[in-house]
Amino acid sequence: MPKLKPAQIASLLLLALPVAVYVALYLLPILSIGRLSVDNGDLSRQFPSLSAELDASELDDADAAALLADLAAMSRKDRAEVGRMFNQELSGMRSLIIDTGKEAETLEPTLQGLAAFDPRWSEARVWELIDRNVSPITWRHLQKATGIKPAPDGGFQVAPGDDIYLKIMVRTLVIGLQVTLLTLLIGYPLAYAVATGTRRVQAFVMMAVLLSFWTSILVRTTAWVVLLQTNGLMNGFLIWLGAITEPLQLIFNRFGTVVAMTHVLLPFAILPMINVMKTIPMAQAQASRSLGAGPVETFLRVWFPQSLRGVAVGGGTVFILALGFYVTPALTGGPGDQMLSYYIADFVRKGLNWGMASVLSILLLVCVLLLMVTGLLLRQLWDRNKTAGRAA
Amino acid sequence: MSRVIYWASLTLAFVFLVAPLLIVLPLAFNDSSFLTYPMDGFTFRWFGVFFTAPPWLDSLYNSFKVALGTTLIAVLVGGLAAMGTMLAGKWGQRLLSALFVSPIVIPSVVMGVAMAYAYFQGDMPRHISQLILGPVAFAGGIAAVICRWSWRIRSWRHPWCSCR
Repeated sequence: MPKLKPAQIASLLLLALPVAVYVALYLLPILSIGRLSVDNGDLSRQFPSLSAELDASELDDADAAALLADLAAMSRKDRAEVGRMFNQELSGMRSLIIDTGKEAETLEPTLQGLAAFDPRWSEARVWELIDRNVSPITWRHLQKATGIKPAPDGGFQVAPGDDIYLKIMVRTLVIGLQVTLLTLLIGYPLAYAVATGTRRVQAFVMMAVLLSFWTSILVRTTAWVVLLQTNGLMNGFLIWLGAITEPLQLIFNRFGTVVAMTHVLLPFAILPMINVMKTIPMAQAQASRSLGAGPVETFLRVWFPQSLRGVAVGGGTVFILALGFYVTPALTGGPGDQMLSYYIADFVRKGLNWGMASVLSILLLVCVLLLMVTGLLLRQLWDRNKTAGRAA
Repeated sequence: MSRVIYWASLTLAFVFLVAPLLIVLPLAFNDSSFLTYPMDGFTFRWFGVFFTAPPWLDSLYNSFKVALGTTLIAVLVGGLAAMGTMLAGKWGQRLLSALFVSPIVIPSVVMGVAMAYAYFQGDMPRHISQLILGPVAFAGGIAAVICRWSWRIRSWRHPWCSCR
């Protein structure tokens, strides 16, 4: 055993409790729904010997014997259910399973014996279907959730009408993008003011940002319901201005959802931007001005490019957080503005459909983790380029 | 001209940020039971309703129990995680950071479904400890990030090792 340094021993001692807690309260629960989302328990439990046999070798007489043993062990009701599920993929499978099952104990347990009983047992596609369906893992739930199925020509296809959750995923991404752009647009001047303004402006804006940051999401969402409802302040203001004569529908639609989410996520865009902007040396802007550039040119060519890193970090944070939003769209959106989280919660609340909830959860999770990894890789590339540029 | 752009965009953004917060608070004193302006009159009635009705008070106690419980566990776990991560090697640091920080971006509904499916399914009696344990991974991640950040800023050196 290699000798451990004191720092390594200390590290292991310190990490024992946190790692145990994170395994129990984070990794295991996530893995359990990941497992459920590809679980084929209902079908593979019916074929204990066959699922072990098919993994092991090419198709041979042992497979036929295992199939017959499994069919013989099933009750009549189980065989009808298995046949029904196979029949969804290939018609005729129901009668084949039921008929073979009745004679399972008397048939010769070889491939030839099966083919002699029913010629369909010599067809490759029948065995391929069984192979697909008796393994403990299945992509069936995933296909059902996305509507994406393998096409006969080897590619993938989406049947019209089956793509309801795919559309909701696209909607989730679109709302996330809209909210991200708006938070950056509104957050940039505020971050700029905190980074460059006078001491008083800095304190004033920073206080507002932190006030918003620490206020409950529910309170801020309710505030937008108060502001945007039919007889709310915004409509009253617009009518008083004379811009409109009838109240507009500003909430319980996409507009209300995007505006409220923008407000809720604004601090998450502003704070990273402030962090980066504070590192931009003021001397550079002053140098640019003294060399004759106007304020607009100085901003666009000296200041703005250096602040882009903060814009990227803030935008990425907001986008990732927006994808998982649940409460704000539920309170400020209509039926057509709900995001993926809403349907995940809905499947659990109504009817305890853990299967669909877990598949949609895993899809959302994969989206979020992919984005996070992409963001981290981009940041590393950025840093490497920057240090390489400095060295050159 | 540039001053005009600066102040106009700053004012608009500031109003967007602050107006909703300022508008919702006075409605607590509204004499009507609707969340609308203009207010019907000034009253402390709703505070009386809140502080005398058991369901509201129970929810307040529950909030405090969950906040306190989750904070205690998360700060302990997150603080230890941050210390242990700082002492690990380069690849250990990356792996451990991924473990402790990734829960921050996990959507809360996904985390809730996962916890409920893994531990609280079926007829299991509901208890406040489930609410406390649910957000521990998320809150511990935040605690770990803040600990590492502040210790790094103060160039915190470990008393019994010469590593960074």
